[in-house]
Amino acid sequence: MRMNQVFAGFLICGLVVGAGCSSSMKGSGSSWFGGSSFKVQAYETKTLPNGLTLIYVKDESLPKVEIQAMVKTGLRQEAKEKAGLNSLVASLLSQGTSTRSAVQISDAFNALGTEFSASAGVDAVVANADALSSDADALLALFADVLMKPTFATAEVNRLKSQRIAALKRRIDNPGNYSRRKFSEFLFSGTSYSRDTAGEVETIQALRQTDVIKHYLANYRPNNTIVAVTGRFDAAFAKKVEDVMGAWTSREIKPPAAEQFPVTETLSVKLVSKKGLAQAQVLLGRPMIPRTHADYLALRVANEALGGGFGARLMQRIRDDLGLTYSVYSSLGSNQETGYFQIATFTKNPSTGQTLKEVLKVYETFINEGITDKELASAKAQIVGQYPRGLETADSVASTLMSLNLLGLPLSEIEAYPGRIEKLSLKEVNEAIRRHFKVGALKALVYADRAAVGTQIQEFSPIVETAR
Amino acid sequence: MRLRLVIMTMLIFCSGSAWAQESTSLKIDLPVEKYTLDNGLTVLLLEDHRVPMISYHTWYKVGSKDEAEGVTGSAHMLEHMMFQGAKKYSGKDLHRIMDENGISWNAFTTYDYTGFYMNLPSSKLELIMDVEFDRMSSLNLDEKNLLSEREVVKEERRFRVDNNPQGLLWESTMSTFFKKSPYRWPVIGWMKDIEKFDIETLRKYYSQYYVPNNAVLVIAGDFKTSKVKSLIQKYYGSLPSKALPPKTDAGEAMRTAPTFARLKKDVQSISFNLSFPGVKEGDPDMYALDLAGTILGAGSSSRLNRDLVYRKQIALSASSGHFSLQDAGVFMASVTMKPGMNSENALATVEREVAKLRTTKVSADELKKAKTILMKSYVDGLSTMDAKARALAANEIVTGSYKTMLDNLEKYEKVTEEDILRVAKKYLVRSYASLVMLEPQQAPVAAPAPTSATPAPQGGAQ
Repeated sequence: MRMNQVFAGFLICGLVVGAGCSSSMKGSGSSWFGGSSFKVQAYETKTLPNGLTLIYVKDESLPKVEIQAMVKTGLRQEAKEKAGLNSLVASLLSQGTSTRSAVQISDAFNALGTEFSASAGVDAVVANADALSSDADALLALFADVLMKPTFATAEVNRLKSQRIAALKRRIDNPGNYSRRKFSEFLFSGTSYSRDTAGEVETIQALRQTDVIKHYLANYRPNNTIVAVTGRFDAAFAKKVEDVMGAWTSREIKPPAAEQFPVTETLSVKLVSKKGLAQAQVLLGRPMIPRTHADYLALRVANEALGGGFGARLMQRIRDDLGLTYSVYSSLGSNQETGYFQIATFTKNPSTGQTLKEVLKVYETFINEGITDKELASAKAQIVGQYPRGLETADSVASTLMSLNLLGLPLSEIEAYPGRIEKLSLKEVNEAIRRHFKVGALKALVYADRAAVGTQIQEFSPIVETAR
Repeated sequence: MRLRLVIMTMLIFCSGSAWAQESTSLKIDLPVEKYTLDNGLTVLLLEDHRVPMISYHTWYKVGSKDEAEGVTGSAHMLEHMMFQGAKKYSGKDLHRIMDENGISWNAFTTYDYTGFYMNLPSSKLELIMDVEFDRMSSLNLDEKNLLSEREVVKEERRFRVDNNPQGLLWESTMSTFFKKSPYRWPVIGWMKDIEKFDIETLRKYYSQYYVPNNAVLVIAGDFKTSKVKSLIQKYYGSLPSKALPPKTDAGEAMRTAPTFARLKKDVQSISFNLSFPGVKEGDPDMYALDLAGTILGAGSSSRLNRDLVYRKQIALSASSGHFSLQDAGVFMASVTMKPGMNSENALATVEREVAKLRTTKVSADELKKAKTILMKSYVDGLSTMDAKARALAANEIVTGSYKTMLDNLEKYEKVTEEDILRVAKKYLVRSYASLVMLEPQQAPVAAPAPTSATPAPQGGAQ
């Protein structure tokens, strides 16, 4: 929509864009929705003989069809010294196939009004493109070609390597992104999840065409992939999808090596310094249980009360009472093998120490006292009440299903979620808080100008590092 | 190719369920009911029962363009104060009530308007009306709250602009491009103005602009139109209308010589924005300019991306587009160089490509591709209830009627290769241009020569 696109560039949001929690939650037939109950749009799944999982979500409301593919390859599938390989391979999919050049591919997708996007997350690559339903066949032909028959020509590999290195050198120009990067590195130190999906300048430089081809052949296989087709399409189109994708050859997928994830037992603070920064980024967190853990939903509710929104404790105290920041959120993140808990905010240089200490106080009270009955009710109301919005479109239903599958949950969780949230008792939530949080057991990272911060966080004896 | 063209000309958006495909004219049709209360409140209702939720938007026709030097950022500051409570509901109450009822809410301010929105389970509609009536009629503008909220806004400014080089580049781009128009100052305001906001100024803005005859209410989602209409009358009907301050035109005449500003920051690579005058929203030339901007720089196959990113491999990104505000527009090309690359070659390329739009007709294929990209983005932008409500509100406010957006597809479809050539000749003229460079402290290689006219650097914002 033109107006939206155009104005998106200079909206100034009054109350900040949420950091949000990981995706999946739901609300069916709940009292929240008055007379009309909420039902997740119908979906179908199917597994082809070559092991490919297919998801179909039909939606007749717009004359549009979207194809998404999730290939389960991430940081754990690339060696440390080849950091960034997984992401480079994803970007190279659309840079040439056995029958189409990079230029032809880009022309063809743009002619459909779309762009082929393949983004590499920590555990999976998600690719997607969409088109008007009348162009469904052309979309399928292109999509399948780049997914199944990329050629990785040397010139394209070198072009993208150079592009990636340039982007990595610029990471530091965005303080918010850069501080999140440094925080992941600190939090998951020594494990795959500590790395930037984009890699590092040195590791990208060392990558060769053969690395790319090997990585592709080992991971881009139908039995390691979910393809979702959403929107307006008919049975004949579904059949075509199955014919085309059915021709993809399966291969045994080697599971990644098991890793030991760090445990955080004490408070450790790191100051990453860059001269001239006008604001300090403050991040705190600890590794946390994975999405499949029995206590996850209880913590999801607890997090909502601590830092899920405007009415939550962190926002009320740090922003509304003290005026220390514009945004402060806590979130629970889920990776395939582990999870994390994180609080993120920013403040002016002179209040860096105060902000860190006030956040720690809120966090301590949260652990010592747990949440209240009222907070429990509000947290449930928010999670369940907003659930349908996350599943309003067919493609969002499909991506939620794919995430559930990636994180090792049954697809039926998409329906069961709100009911499970509603059932949680205060006792269950507060016991889960005590089991999984511990006062002082946090890693904290401050990204700021060391000179401007001065002695404010001295008492934490921070590890000091210079940004580069 | 032919098949697509036929389908493209058959887009008709019907009531939330199906698209009818019978007409050959290009048309989106949303079943909107529009009316105006006696007090001047404009109401747009879009009933749609897809999910049991409602998107509730209250937008006021006041933005940063309605401010003056010395009080820049007032509209945005007032938007923040709208979360500090009113007569019936205090600020703390509001946050608690929203949470308890599973409602998400927020707001934003732009150059032209201020929008408040809520996404709620449909059973909570009347509660929201009570809250929005309270905030529209008796906001609590309190000195103490302002002092604290001012600090929040200062943090927001540091976050978006002062500590964010790309934010600075945008701010400087606008303040260099516009010389007289209120569009020259940032929506969030200059820091020196934020620091001295006083409650009386905000009270004045509130009483002048937050009145029913200056607002548009859009409700989209799961409700019964007849019932909602009576609720609207019940809650908003008693509010008095007020005489509004006279509207001033925020547009300005095209310049006669190019302008240039250079920002030196601790960044790794050069970025620049080359801007030309565009037109205001709804201007007959808008459609051709939008398409010209798309051909030049939207998508991986666009002229700029293909040349600078793919072929020459000197830029990390290169894009362009035309955007329209209520009273003016800007046609902008934006390039971010790879670290270590100077901008000379890229700037020359952008200038050459812009010149080519003025002298050579675009190909039929390129024009068709650009139309498809724009039309598909229209369709994409109507995928959720909230997005539909936004689109309706924005078009209603900026063009005077939400229907403009429904008619736009047809207008894009009618644009010809000759139209592109004509608008390029009229607007994309070097002497009208404005260039802003963001550079590392130590610029790589030689400093760029901005344009052949080589205007004297004027220094941007800050």
